[in-house]
Amino acid sequence: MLGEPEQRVCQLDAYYTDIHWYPVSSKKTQAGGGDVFAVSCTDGSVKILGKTGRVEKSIEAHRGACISLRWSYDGTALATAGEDGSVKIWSRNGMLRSTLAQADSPVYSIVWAYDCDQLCYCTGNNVVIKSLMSNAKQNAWRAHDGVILKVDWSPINHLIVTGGEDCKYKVWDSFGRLLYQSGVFDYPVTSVAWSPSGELFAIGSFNSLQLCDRMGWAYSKVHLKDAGSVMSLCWTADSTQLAAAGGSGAVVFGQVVDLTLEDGKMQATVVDEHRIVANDILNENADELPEFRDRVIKVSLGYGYLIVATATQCHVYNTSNLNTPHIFDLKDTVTLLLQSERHFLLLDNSAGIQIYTYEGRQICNPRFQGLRTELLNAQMITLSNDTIAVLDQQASATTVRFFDTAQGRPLGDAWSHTLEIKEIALSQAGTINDRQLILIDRNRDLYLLPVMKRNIAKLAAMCDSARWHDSTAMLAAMVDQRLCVWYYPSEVYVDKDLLAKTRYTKADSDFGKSAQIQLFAGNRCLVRRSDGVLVSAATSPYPSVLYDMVRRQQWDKATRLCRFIKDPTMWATLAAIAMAAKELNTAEVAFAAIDEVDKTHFVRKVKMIPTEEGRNAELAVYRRKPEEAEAILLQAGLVYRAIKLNIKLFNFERALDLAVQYKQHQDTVLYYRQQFLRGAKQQETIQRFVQMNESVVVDIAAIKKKIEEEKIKETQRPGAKRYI
Amino acid sequence: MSFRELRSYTEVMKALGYPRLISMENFRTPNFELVADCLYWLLHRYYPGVEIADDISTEADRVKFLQSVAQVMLTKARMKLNIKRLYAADGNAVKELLKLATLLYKATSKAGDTDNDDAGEIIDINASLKGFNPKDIKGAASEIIKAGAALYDALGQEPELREHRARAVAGHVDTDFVERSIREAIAQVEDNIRALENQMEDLERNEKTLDNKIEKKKQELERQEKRLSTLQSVRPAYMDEYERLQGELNTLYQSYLDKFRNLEFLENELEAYYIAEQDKMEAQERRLKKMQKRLKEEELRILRGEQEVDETNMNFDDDDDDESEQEGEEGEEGDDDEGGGYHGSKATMRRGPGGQGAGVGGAGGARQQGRGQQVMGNLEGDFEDEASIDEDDNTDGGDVSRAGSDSGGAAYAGGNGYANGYGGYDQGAYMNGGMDDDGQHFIQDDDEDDNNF
Repeated sequence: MLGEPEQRVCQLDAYYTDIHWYPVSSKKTQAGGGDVFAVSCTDGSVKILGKTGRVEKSIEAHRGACISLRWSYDGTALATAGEDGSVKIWSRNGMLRSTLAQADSPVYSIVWAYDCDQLCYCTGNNVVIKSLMSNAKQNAWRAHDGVILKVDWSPINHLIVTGGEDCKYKVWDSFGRLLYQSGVFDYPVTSVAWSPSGELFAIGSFNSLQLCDRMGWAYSKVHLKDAGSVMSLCWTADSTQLAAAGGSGAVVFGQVVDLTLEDGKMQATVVDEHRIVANDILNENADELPEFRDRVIKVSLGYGYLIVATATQCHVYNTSNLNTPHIFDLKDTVTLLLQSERHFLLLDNSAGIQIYTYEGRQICNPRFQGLRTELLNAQMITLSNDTIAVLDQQASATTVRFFDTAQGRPLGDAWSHTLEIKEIALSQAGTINDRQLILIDRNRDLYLLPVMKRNIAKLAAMCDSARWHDSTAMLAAMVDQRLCVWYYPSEVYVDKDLLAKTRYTKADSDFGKSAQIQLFAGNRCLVRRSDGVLVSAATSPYPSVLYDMVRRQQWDKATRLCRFIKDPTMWATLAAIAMAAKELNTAEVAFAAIDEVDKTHFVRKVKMIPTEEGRNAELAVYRRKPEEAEAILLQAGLVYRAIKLNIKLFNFERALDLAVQYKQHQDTVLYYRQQFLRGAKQQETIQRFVQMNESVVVDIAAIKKKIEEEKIKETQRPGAKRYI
Repeated sequence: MSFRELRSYTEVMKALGYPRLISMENFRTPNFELVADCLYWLLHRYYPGVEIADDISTEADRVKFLQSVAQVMLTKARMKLNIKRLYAADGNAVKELLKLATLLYKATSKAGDTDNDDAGEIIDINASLKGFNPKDIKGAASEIIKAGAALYDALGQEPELREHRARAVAGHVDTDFVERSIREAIAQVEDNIRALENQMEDLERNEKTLDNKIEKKKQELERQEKRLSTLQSVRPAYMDEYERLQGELNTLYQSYLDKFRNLEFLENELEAYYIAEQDKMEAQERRLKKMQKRLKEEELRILRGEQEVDETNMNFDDDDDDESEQEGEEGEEGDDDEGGGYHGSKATMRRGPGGQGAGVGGAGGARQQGRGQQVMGNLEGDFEDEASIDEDDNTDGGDVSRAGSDSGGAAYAGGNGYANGYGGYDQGAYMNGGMDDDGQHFIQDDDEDDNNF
């Protein structure tokens, strides 16, 4: 990294135009893998070289110069593009598989899609995405006003960035929709490169280098003296360093610095590759950590801990005492660092996912077939106190796998969505039974998925980003360019009307397209707009207070709080929470306050039920789970109530089944059935009822008496007690 | 088919500062205008004064233009340009253009280096100029004058010396010897230089090690300071016990103060009582004296016969009366004496408390105030109505103190001194104690206690 050549690898008789290492992850899997790389030359040949410079294979690939080449991410194919305008696919051993395209002008750059069955290349002013399947339609669009010199396609966020001779760079999504267009530079943009994490990309132009966010806006621009045009850019796997090749023969090394992290009163800044300054905002004392021996690669700050991953070691600092970190050695370069309250997660390319405690002890190392660590970023893997959720890239990113943090064993089956999933996040509050996953799919629909039960529910459409509150079950999302907060998202399983009432939308806020929520803590939301501006939006402080009171079982206080605030959203939230906690009195008050007459009546009715099981069954019905309700009743031996439940749901056949099975109340079922038919002015159509009608005598007086008896019996059950 | 040349050419032209940007695709199709423009621009960069017809409207003009360019390049730069290729104005023309451009590029990059050196020198001169001061310049000027004079003298000697010189020149010179000696001198100088360099290196090494040491020490210092600060922030184990004991001490001291105050108050009361008693006694005495006086006067008047003796009354009484009066007088006198003695003894007896009173009273008005407040404080406001009594008390105390100082002040000067010290102590204590009710003052109280102890 000091810019001194270690050795000359080899010398060819033609000039090099492009070079690409064989992909790292497939080294293990491919038998013929190893340290090889491919180079393209001006004489149109492509050579596959070993690390020592031995030419393994030389192919006469193109007429004229071969300009660009890329290994596919799985390492099975090599794509080349040349001055003659052809794009060719070669096998690992250099056998021609196909000529994918034949353009009429030189193809300057080529890049694989993440799934290795599409290729993106640029020719003239056009960018073309072409599938390897010959019958699939290609997607081509005019991208620049000048010749496009470079194109790169991130395998992680699937965005395409192009740079051209019209002195602009542009960011596109994989369908060719323009997301960002830069201002005009002084010189053509000669190279672009995504960082492996997909968070950043670099732009090279004549004597200048620019670091940009994935949304396109620039973090910084560096003027390089005497470097010439930056012809090629390459990132390290950890996305912290890059190398740039200048047209004058210069090689430029860059390091991403000035990364600032915040957590509560702490702020940590990576000053340069060996130094980090931790700043306590309350005490206003900046504390520089002792200089790191190795390069700082990843830094994470949260839950009172500062974690610094260097090239060889991981330092875990407690923010209250920065003097004595826990230090342990790392096997490989860390590509991702995630934190939860109790653990943190390290991701690297050799060991995969590793969970550590804050004392630096490894807990587990969850694995599954087809884990591709280089394609995981913070949106695709998420950690909570008891669960890890990982997006399985193998199955075209539609599958989420769950693991527990204690042993790293799979938690239930993998869950598959119908569409490609873009983003997942686990809730942080509560126990494993409250654990929920949000996911945003390709259509930008926001879904909620409980980890234990797996019944998915859609929360919103047009969602740009979503984030859980750091300490409660609240969820904030950018829906339709506005900031929405669900005070109690779990209500989606129970009552969508009430869910809409617990939703708070910040009406006056305009965050523009594809804004990202960076932080949702306390009563503050930090939103990064697509133009890079950080906007701090205040949300109501009351829901957290409400959650706090509920956690301490102070229902009367919570009610008083809602009365004080007089906000229907808060009342609805309280109602939802109270119903979930079976706190009927509070629920009744809350429902009354938001004019939900029917629900208030329902709660009152439930309160009248003498037995606990009966009440639970009614609440299960409220949660739209009649089967559960029936199961509860049957288990408690309340057969009559179960039958009556089915009758009320007009589920007469099931009612009759139960009656026959338990040999009671058959006549009751028949009686209600007859009443129903009479009311609906219909004839009996179900064969079984016709038969029963013949065999069983329906005596109304006797039935009434029996029902009375049942009611008395229920009130006299041991442990039967009215709800107070 | 000239990707590399095209790229290099665009790159070089960018570096040279060609005013328009050359695209990679510009030479895919023949583009003579651009070739001509580049050539014209490059030629003018190369040789600014050159005059070439820049008309390229017809084929003949173009050929002529290229020929003249090639001519100029051949003569000025010894560079052959292939006119045919240039005329084609395609990828191959770029190769020709690249030759010319590269030459300029290399030259400019080298020139850039030398420019840098020049700039460096200029900066050096500036820096050295900064170092000059007028004194040096004056000295230099005088030296120049001296040198001028010496030169003049030397020139004056020239005619004589010319002959010597001619002789010396004519004579054989041992060039080998000269060379050898010069070489030796050079070797010596080189040795010197080497030694100096070695020394320099040593010094640099030393400096580095010292720097390292300083750095290390600094780090150590920082670490130690950090440790010190953490240690300072740590609370010692015995602190809780210390604070508890302190609290206990405070309460004990408080109760001690209360008791002391009460004692003082009671003593004061006692004193007041004594004074009242004494007053009563004195009043009695005065009355007795007055009566005696009146009786004497009456007696005198009777003796002078100014008043008729009430015979009826006096007659049987007379003797008795005289006697008794005599006796009375004697008795009274004896009484007087006795009274005086008694009084005296009493005075002496009372001097003790009086002196003490003086001492206590001598503590000054401050004490009185303090005392008044203290008493009120002690009574907790239940006897607010008696505030006036307290004030009386105080004034009494003041009186007593004055009386005391009148009577036994001199005798008890030492005592007074003691009392003053005592009072001084009291003052502090009372002043503080007087404001019990206030929490803040209580804290202040604590502090002062600390000081006192």
